Amino acid sequence: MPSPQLTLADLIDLEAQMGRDAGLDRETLRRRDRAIGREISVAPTDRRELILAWLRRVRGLGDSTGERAARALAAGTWLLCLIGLVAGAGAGAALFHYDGVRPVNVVPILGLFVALPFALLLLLVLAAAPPAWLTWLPGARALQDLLRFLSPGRLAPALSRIMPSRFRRSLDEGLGNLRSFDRLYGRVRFWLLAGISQAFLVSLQIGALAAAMALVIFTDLAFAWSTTLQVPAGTFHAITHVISTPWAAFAPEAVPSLDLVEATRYFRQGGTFVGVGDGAPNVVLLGRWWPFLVYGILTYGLLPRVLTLGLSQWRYRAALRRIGLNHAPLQELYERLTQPVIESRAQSETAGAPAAAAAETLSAGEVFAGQSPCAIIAWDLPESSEAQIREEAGRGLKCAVEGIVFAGELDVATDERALDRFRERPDTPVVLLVKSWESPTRDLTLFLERLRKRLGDGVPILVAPVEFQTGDGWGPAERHDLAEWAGRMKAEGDPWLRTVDLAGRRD
Amino acid sequence: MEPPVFAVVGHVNKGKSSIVAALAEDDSVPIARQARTTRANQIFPLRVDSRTLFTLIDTPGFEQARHALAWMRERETSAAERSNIVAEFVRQHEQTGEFPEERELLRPILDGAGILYVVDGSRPFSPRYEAEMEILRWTGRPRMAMINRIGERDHVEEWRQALDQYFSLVRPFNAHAADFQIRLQLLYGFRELREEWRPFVDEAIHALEAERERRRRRSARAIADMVGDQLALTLDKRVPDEVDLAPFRRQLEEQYREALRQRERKERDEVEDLYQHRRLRRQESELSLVTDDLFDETVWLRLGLTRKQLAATGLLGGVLVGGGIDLAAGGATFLTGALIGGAIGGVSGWLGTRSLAKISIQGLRLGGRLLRIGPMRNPQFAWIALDRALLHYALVSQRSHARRDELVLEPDGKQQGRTSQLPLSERREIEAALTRVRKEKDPDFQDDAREDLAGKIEGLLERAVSGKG
Ligand SMILES: Nc1nc2c(ncn2[C@@H]2O[C@H](COP(=O)(O)OP(=O)(O)O)[C@@H](O)[C@H]2O)c(=O)[nH]1
Ligand SMILES: [Mg+2]
Repeated sequence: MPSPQLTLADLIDLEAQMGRDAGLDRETLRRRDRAIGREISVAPTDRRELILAWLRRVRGLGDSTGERAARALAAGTWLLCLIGLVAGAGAGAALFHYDGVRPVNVVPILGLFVALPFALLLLLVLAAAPPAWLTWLPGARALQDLLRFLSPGRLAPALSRIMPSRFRRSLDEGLGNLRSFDRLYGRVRFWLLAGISQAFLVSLQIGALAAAMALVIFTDLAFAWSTTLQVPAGTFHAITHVISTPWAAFAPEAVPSLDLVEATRYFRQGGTFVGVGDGAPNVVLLGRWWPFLVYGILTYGLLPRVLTLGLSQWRYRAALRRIGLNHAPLQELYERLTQPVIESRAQSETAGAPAAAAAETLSAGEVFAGQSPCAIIAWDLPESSEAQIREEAGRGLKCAVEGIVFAGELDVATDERALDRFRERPDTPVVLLVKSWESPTRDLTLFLERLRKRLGDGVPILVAPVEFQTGDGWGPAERHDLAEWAGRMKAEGDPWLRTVDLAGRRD
Repeated sequence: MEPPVFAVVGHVNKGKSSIVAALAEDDSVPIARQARTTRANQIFPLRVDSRTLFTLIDTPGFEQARHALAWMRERETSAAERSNIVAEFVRQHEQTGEFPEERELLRPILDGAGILYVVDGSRPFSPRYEAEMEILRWTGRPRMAMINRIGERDHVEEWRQALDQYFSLVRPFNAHAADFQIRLQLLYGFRELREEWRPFVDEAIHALEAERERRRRRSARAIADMVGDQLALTLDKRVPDEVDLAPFRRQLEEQYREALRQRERKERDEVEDLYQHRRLRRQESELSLVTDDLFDETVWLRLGLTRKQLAATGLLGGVLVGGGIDLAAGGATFLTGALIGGAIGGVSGWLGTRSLAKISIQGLRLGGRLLRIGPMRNPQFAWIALDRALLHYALVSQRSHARRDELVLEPDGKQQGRTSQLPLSERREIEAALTRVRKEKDPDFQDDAREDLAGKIEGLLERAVSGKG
């Protein structure tokens, strides 16, 4: 299946859209384009079709910049053609004007409608040649730039000013965008403007031809030839003979004969004809030039222009077709269209809990001066023996361990047994040994509340985080673990509840 | 068939949120040392083109598992009834307000979620944890245990023995070290949990792999664009006639460096964005490293190619020439020694411009000279820029989203640049691509040249991640 045709409006819209998208963030773009990509039911291998379908969707309904620009350009072109027709008709009427006294001079007609267009045609070839071909010709590049600059096609955008301003703005913007991607779209722009130039020239020729025909048909014209140069009639006849070669075979009446040439030489001075005696030549003979002139205009003026118009349009379409649509931003677009969007982040972002207030830990030395007694609850320490706890805690806390009870183990009954041990208010501080790396849980804080109820106000409860060492013994708890324990215990709001650092390390 | 839901549960502070952050590539998940950072369940759907393939749920974690289990045991009648008792537990305590964390985390499980149970394998196992495991077993849902390791120590084996009794699958998973491959392996584990979930997980794996490639491709292009822009950078400064050029020169030079740095930062942001690191802080020292680095000879030698390699790539001549600095207007050679010195040569080509000494602005003929710095002529520069980008890419693309520390980009002192380890033929190819980028003025062809360079860089990126050497 052939790829769909890209139009000028598409191209302008594409660049305009890319420009707009450059300001959006990638996530938004990705989501939007992937949604479109999934709606479009074309094989993702056809990049061009995919991008065009995408463009149609993002530009939405209503007229787009590109369409407005294209319409403005079309209007400008039509106006230019109209001007061409009028100008051509004016020129034709002026040159074919016969006031009844002086005959119409054939030479300027040949110059304007045959020689000039032919020369211009050569220039067009020069302008259209790829720059690389011209390197051998000094100054050719400069000339080429000049020609491109002078191309009448450039008038169309200017003429589009007859359109409402929003059209004009779209066109300015659109062509400006294309210009900024000259390497990509330069050929398109060139053949677009060349085509408009050719249309203008075709209308110019048609105008001239129409005016000439009208004068030929509705008035009787007398033609003659006249030049300041010393051109013998034989030479002029030879020139006209060469000029009429293309149609000599099928339109012999449009080939001026030597007789005609000789008979219609004219010198303005005195208004006399020279060639056939001194009298005015035969009237019929004077009118005989017109078929030659009309064929000349047709063949050298109109026909090549029609051909170049066709050529321009053909090349213009080809240039549009050849646009690869694969420069970096479009490459990215293609990816956005074809690659799935993956989202995995949280549905709603949450703020973390506020950090617990920092709190001091006590050092063991501050609590137990001189081996004063302490009661111990070992929270979730089933792996430690009573003897070990007595030794390690006694050393770390610098207290004389009076009793040890286990709590916080898998079986919740251990908690009850531990609480039962404190049926009477003790006269020593109660130390709760905990694993430093385990965070304080609700389980533990509920236990502490029950314990406080049992003990009553005033009895110190000291939470001592324990750290196991790689061997068997206990070591100092990690600083961040201690800090967490201290903070959380303080948050309990029990003034006799403190956190104590077993190792007595404070800083 | 509904897409699977996985509830990440476990004791408080064992890395549940970290695992979810890593799997969901969400660096905004609150993770902290303090317990109770996560209070309510958080939902993390994995969506491919808006279609959910699976959902992860981060939960608050067990706080009173022993008591919950005790409550349930009291009501146990038969094994078949167990999941009903768990449901009953949630329902009853809804009224009393007790067990808020247990209720919150059990709810999705009772609704059909699979269980991902997280423990810390760097700390010893304690029988107390069996309360949590037992409750999870009572729910009867498919379940997998993940042994995370928060600390250095290794208690994985004892954990494994306990976990094996309660979980059909037990996998190690280090939330902070989890790169793409490790995460993918975990997803393969998810497939095993239930037959019906497989197609969803398979599709997710597929999409994630494609996304991975897309990110790499985009990163390569971002790096190519950075190098291209840096190489092409030029700055102009107008200088009046007959004044000392030196202060202007220094100013321009500083602007030039800053512009290079800024371009580098932009690329870093792009890559981090591609890999969903939205809150990443690059370490201060890194920034200052960038500051001095590109202009510090020792770093160049360390990161970049050795002189021998330069010579082999045919660069050395270029380096020496590239170091040539001339300012036609002053007719003197500037920047020798102070800026770079030695064989590394100058960072920039200086173009003095007698021809541009008079510039015309809006029809006025103004006097003065134009000082211009750039484009970069030192062939070494592109390699340094590439090397640094590669290092950054390797770190960012493999970084777990659970980490909240800063990204430290310091290359270790003895390390040679990654590019210096490339085979000569490949270095030549890259050099050729770089040259094309440097030389191509036409924007369209420049685009081609960068795409070509990006293709080569993509290969480097792939290896920067896989061959961790
Ligand atoms: N080093 C290291 N720390 C981890 C890892 N996983 C979690 N942590 C730390 O453990 C603490 C608790 O993690 P978090 O994910 O909040 O646990 P949660 O309470 O179970 O959600 C945090 O300080 C994390 O930084 C890991 O794999 N490695
Ligand atoms: Mg959490």
